[in-house]
Amino acid sequence: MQNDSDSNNIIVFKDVDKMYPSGANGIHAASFSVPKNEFVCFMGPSGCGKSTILNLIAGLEQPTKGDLKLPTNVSVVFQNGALFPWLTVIDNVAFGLRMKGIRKNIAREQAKKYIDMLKLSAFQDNYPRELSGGQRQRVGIARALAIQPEVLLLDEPFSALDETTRFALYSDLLDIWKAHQLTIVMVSHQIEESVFLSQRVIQMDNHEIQREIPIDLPYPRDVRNSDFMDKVNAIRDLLPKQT
Amino acid sequence: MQDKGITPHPLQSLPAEKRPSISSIAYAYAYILIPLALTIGVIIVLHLLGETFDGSKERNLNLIANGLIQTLARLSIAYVAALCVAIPLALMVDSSPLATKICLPIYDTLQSIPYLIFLPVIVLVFTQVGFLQGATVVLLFLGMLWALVFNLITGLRVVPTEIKNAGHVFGARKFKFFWNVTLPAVTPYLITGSLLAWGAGWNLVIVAEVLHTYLPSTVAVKDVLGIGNVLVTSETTGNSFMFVSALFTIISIVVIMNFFVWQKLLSYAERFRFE
Repeated sequence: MQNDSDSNNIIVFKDVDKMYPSGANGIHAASFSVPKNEFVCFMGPSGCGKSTILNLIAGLEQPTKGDLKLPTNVSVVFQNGALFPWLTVIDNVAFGLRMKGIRKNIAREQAKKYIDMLKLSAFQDNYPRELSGGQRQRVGIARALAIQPEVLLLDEPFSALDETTRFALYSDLLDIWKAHQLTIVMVSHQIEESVFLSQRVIQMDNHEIQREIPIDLPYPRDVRNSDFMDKVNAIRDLLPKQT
Repeated sequence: MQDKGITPHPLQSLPAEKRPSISSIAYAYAYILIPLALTIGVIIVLHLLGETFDGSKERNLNLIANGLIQTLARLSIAYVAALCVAIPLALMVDSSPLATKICLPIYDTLQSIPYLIFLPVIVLVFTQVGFLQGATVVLLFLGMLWALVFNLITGLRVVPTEIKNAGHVFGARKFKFFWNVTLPAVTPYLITGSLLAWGAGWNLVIVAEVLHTYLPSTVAVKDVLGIGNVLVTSETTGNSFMFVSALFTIISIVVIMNFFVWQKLLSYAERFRFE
């Protein structure tokens, strides 16, 4: 466990509860911290509360109880992209800049940089409905990066993509993480994905944090490497048996 | 494989996405032919009208044109007013689960009260202040309001949470959120609601523009000119050519608006729809 008072921690949760009237998706007594530039992954079954943690970090929801230290400049890549269907790719990417009051042509110019970075130049004037799932997620990532966040939150962004597309996006995401010195908090329900990307896996179940597992494999990681597979299997053994 | 000796239809040789669909061909005909036929119809009727009756073609034409312009202006004012009221009413419903529980039954009840029963009261109030136009607009406003309110409520309900969250995360707050997220998100429903509202408005025009008939004969009041008024007055005075031309004008303008405004807006709004 990290030292909570460490000023290097950009996110700190201390005994945080979030209850919903329905009882589902809540979290109980969540304590963890994320230092700057870390890539951390929350993993667990659907409804265990991992997305709630992201919503709390993003400031989209308020905790019922507990102390939080949150970064000021957070950006989110949503599960289904959550692109605005009425805006073209470039205007989706420029959206956050426009909301900061930046003029349209300047915002578009800045957005162009991220469009190129995510290899979307050919589609910049298309509407989201004209794109494939992988391209949409690229737009989602470009839109999230365009506001130059300190912390990037990803909510199961690759769950609907095929394997080839997924691995292409993994390697782009890792490049961006290193190049921009970002702190990344991702939610995933796939063990391989979590081990491939993150430095630490926080395993959740039944609305509580179960354990933290450091992933001390060097980058770039290889899924066929025996250390990689050992790590995946070790985590699999820790999970409650699925029926 | 293409069978030997069978020449494909020229349109079939185009790639599927470039082939005009049946509906687009039908639309092309409808866009051009129906408004054209109706316009020609109106011109012919107006021509006959001028020649056959009192010889004052200009006067009759003026009456129709003036009536049409005034009616359109009145409907537009009522529509804008209805929109200004409908948007906050719909946003109020969407603001919290409690608000939904309180507001929805109230709206349901209000919209089910036949507003025409208040007609004499509305007319009397506006006659007192000598502004019968106001009564007409209020009536059209009431007729247009609920189609907008209920469509907007539906529109607000189908906005995915992720889209709202994305708006918040990327810094859209209050008016910026309304303008950049809520409004585009409900646009398809706003357009459907507007189409229905204008339909209701046109239906009401022939009642709303002959309000003097609801007043005691002792009350002297300036009548409201409009195409609905022309239609009713010409019918009661036995001027059947004027009646037919007013009828033609109304049908034409409604069809033209449908093809050149609503259909275009509806297909434009498709891109605003969530998948």
